[in-house]
Amino acid sequence: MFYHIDLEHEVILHPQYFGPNLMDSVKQKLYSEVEGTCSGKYGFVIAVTQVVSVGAGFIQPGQGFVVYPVKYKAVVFRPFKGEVCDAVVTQVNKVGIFCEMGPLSCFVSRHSIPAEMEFDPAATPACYRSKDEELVIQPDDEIRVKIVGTRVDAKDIFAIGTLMDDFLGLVN
Amino acid sequence: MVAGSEEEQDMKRKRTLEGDEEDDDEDEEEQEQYRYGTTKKQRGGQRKKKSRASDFILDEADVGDSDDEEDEDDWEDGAEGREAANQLASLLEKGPTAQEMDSHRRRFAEVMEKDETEIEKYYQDRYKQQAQLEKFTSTGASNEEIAKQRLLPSVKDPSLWMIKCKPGEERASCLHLMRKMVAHLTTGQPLHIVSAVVIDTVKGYIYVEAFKHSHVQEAVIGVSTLRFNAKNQRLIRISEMTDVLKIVKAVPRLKERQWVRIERGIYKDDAAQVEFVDETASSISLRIIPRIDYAHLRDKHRFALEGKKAPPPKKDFRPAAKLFAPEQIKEVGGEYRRDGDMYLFQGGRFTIRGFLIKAFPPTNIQVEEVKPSLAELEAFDDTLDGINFGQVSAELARSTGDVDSVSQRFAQGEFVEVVNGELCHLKGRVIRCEGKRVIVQPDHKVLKEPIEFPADELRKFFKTGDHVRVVRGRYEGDTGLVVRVEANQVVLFSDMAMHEMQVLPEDLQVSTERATGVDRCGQFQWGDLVQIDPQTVGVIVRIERDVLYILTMHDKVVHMKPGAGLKKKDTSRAVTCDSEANQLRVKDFVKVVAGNNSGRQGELKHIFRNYLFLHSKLVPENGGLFVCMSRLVTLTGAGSISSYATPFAAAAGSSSFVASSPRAGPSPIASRVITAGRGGSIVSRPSDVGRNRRDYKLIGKTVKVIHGLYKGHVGVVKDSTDTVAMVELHTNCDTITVARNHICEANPAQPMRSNFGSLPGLYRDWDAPSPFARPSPVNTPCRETTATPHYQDGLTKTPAYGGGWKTPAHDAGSRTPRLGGKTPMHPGLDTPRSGVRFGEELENGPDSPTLATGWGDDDIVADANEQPTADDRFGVAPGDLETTSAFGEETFDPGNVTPHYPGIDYDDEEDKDNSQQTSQGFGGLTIDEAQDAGQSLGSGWLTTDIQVRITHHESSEYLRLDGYVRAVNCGICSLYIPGKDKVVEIAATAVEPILPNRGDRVKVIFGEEREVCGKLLSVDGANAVFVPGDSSAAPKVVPWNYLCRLAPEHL
Repeated sequence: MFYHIDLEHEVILHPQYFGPNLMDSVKQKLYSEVEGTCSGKYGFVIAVTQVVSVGAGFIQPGQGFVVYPVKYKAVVFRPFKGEVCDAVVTQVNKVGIFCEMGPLSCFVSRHSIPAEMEFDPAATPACYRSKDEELVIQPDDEIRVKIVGTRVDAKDIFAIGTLMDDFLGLVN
Repeated sequence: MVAGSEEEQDMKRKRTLEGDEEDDDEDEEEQEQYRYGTTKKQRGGQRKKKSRASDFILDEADVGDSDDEEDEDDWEDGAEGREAANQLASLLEKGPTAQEMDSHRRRFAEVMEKDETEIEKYYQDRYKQQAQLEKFTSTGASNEEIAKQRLLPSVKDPSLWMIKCKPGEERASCLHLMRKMVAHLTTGQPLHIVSAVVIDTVKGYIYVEAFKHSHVQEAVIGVSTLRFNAKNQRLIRISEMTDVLKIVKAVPRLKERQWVRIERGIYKDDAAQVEFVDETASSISLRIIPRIDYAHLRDKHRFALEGKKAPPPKKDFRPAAKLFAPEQIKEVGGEYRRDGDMYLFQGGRFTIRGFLIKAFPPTNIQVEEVKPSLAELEAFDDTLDGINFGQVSAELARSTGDVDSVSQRFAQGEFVEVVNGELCHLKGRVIRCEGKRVIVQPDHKVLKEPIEFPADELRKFFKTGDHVRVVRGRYEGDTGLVVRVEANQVVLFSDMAMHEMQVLPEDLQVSTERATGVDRCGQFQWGDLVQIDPQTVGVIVRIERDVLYILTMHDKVVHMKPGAGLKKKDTSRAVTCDSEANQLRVKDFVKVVAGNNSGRQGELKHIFRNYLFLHSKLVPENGGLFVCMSRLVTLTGAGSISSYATPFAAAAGSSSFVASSPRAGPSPIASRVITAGRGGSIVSRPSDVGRNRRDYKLIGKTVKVIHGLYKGHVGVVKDSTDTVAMVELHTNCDTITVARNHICEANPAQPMRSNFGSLPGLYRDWDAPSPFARPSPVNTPCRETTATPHYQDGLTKTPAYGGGWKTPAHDAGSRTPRLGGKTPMHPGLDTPRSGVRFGEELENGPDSPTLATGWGDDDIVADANEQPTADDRFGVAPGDLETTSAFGEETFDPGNVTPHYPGIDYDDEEDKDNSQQTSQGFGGLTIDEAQDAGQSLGSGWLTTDIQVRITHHESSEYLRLDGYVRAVNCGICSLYIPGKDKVVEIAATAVEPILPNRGDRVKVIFGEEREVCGKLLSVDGANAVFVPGDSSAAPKVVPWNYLCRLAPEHL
């Protein structure tokens, strides 16, 4: 799920950036440090939409680096159990399907793929194929997945999904 | 242990004899009987009425004969003779019970209409099993009791004395008594005791049966281990006599569907499920997977057709456990019949599913601590319809569960499901465990109060997506996400590697933490290369408890126990070559260009001969490790002209050390101490690279210490390495160890101007693990030529041609391992060459120092002013006269904005260093832009399939023409010029890339993405957005000038 939330970050700036464009540097640094990261709590930070405030910088004694507490708003993507997402298949093997929903990688176990879909290792690329050969899931296909579990680490989130529900599977 | 009276012993002897006689022809039948649970037909009549009870009735002396109790087989064999004679009597004695009479009447009515023979057959089959049971017990409970009553000892029977005995000597004492008895038989004064008994559980006493106490004393006298004293001999009361021999064995209560194991016979160690328990008959019907000897059946059938007797089945042969398959029986000529929902075959009863239902005496069954393996569970699962799996697993848990493990099994806060009893299917959370009771907070609308459950009614409950840890079993310690929950197993997807595990729910625990996994097992660690046998090596891809999964070089995963002759191998120094003859070392990144793994990229983990073990995070199998042949890979980042392009990863330590140039010394293996013209400095260059190599050149030399405590002392070098020397001082008898840069050679002839202090860079260089660790004759530098004053000038003052090529970069040149056959040295070795002009240099042709190339080395930090230019030109110069002409047209203002043609290999790092130098006339880019890009043009960007424009050409008709690069080789590219439909060879420096426009197919020619093809989406100022070749990839932003237009395909 996507959220637009207030977040905080401390930007540490080298003295070389002190100058007329100081604030820009802080913002640039914030963007580069924050966007694309992931925290277990808030999920993936997709984009910073607004820098709410840049607090007073605090010079680190003996170093000259300045720490700016920055408050900003960002769009974050936090996957939840039960959420239904569209994903792009990245890999198909006999264990299941690996797919990505933007920054989030997700695994759909063979057990969570409807039984009528069978793994076809002979095809290139390998794919899951329904018995009537109508449905084929192969890398780069878009599939709709329901997230059944997430593993949240400090710096990453990993999800496992299922295709065993209504309206899940290949998105045409 | 019994030492009985004379008669009894005689009888025993007789029995054994009889048994022996029968033994032979009974063997076969015996076996069969064990297999299928009933006696054979012809024996049925004989054995049917065998009964323990009747045995006892006729021969009371047998009371207490515990040998018989213990061994059924002996009893069967031995009892045979008497049995037949006694049948009738016992039958009459007992008579049918009311129960029996009732069932008889019912059945009689049922079969009235049937044919006589049919009825007979039916009964024979039907009651075979019963007959079997009768062997172990008398038929009716009431009968048995009466019989037992009569067996109880009375006043007429001999009494039993308990005699104190030396602890531990019970058995020996009893045997002693027996021998004494036998001995006395011959003397005419036999002992009068009836028997002596040792009971294993009673320590320090034996029992003696006799009519009088005096008889006992008579027997005991002289037996040293027994106490003769009367107070140590106690008479057992008649009422307590039976208790003495009572076997106290807690018979475990058996439940239906409980798992047990069979302890004897051909089903030994097989898991079985309790089908039903016949308490009275004290037999247990078990459901087992039959072991039918089809081969023997076939033989029997065949021999029967020929009218011969089949040979008996092999004695110790144990047929495989396999479900009963009627078709197969037919195939081998066997016969079976159906009886309701059962098959009857060789007297055994088989379920439709193929299980054998067979009765076993409880003594043959192991009840406690039976834990069927997953495989066994599965074998039964397949076929057990409608069995409450929860119950099964609860039973399973119960059978293994003592108090400790219960509390271990259910941790506080765990989610459990009730699988048994009234509250079945209720779910809840464990509050606490009290012994075998588990207090559960139900997760229910109405039930709010905590409820107590016996642990065996509960089962752990998991949902798909739970993150769990395996607490027991094969995968202990692993964690993963639940992908599937089945009745009695849970499928996990491991966190560590991309593999699935099947685990029993009991062995799991919900956990948020993530296992780091067992990545170490003794000396072995994940990713280690191990030698499996002299020919085979493999890399450890997974470690489980006591099992290593090893991916061998033949791309097979084998399971090995650590310590099974495994040896770790260190390949960190191994070097091999890729498909383009680039040197490959561990930690290099390579791309697989052919074979199974084609397209994969990975880090080189190990090298073994020409097998490479690569690691890629994108490969799910084997934890990302895969094996590949070295000729199927290319080093990433290597240019297509790679034979010269090996990045000079080892850095030149310092540009300040200018003394060595890449020229070869007088001898190719010129690792000599060379006295440079600059003064008495001694450059010692190890002939091979390695840490702390002994440096023989210095040994024996007289040196002077110029720094430190011993400054000013003079001594003789006794031993030396690259970094330190042991110097025996002249002054006092002391040998000191000094750093090499603290000494210099004391050469009275030449004043010492230089010292070893100037060497660290060089040393560092040579000590560093460089890719050129192997000795190579051509990488020996020579300093003679640099030792002219002019040289110095050339470097420090005039960065002109003359000295240019002997710039700091050249000391990197000393590390060029690949000068091939080309000696970067003019034959006139001794000629100081500093003054050689560029033009002359070129005339040297192949001998010219061709490859001062690719000083791809960020350590060669030279400021722009010092950065020479001409040396770079040599990079492209070799034997290329066109280049010369190109140079000819240009004037270089050294040290300023100069075209930088950094030779063949173009290293990003260096590019950055060289960022001051901008490309001259690069497709409309301003200097600033080029600086932005941090790049300048060399020939390193040149690659195949791109469109370029000719900027310099001797013939004006080619000037400003566009062409497609067909091939690049040593700074020369083959250019196909579509306008003229011609292929020309042209120096790489004489062309420039064509900037692509929106929508063009492009190739990246600089930076990390080098060699990536794609499509240009848009251009935004100096940056361009392009989509790499495979459409799945995300668009990338690169500086516009990093891109070059791709040549149209099929050209």
